Amino acid sequence: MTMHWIRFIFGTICLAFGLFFIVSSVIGNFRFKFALNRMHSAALGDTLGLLGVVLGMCFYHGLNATTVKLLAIVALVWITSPVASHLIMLMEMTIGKYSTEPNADPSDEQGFERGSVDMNRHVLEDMGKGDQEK
Amino acid sequence: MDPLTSFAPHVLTVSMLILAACALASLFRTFIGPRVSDRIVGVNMIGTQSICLIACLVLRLREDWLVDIAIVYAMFSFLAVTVLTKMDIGVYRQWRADQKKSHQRHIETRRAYRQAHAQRHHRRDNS
Repeated sequence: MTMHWIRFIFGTICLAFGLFFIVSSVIGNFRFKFALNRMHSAALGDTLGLLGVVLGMCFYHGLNATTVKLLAIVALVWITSPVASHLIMLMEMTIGKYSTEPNADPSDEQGFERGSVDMNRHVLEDMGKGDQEK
Repeated sequence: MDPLTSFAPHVLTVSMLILAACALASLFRTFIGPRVSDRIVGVNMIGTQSICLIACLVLRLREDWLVDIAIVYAMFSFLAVTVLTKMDIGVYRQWRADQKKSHQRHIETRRAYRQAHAQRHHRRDNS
């Protein structure tokens, strides 16, 4: 019975840890402004939140085959989540506001031949504004 | 009194309610996300919270086979994000190539028009 109490207490602590990180990732997803910032909070919930919840479930279960499968979920998500974040970053940098590609506006005659340096000017201006506001 | 049979189901119910509230908030974020990237980030977060929800449900319902569903859910969540991002990038690249082609055609047409009418305009201006 003492072993069950220890398992229950450790499991509840891990569960609260994971739920704290998941709730903070949701709050951060609402408070950040751009998608590249929101990916940061989403990765927080993907890694530590999932690890906490699944470790709590492992403590509740004890040691059997289900525990191994639960840890396999963590391994799988920890492998695939950086790849998904990288792809989302690639899409945001390709089609988003901070795109480094030349302008696609047909009314701009030299827009397609112009390099990406001129197109990055608004990005640098935005970053400067952000620094001044802080 | 065994805490794993008396207290743990209530703890699990409360944590599942919190996870469901987080998933609903992420769904709202997905609705109001101004750009496609924000929406995909929200969908990714909903996937992670659903995995946690299923992992809690394993112990709440005492059904061990639900863990396999969680593994498959993780795989499909990753697959959805991959396919959506690659598809959006491909559609954007195709659209941009079409815009470039039509822009080049426009420039060539305008240049040919100017060359064809330059001589006549020149005479009219001089007369």
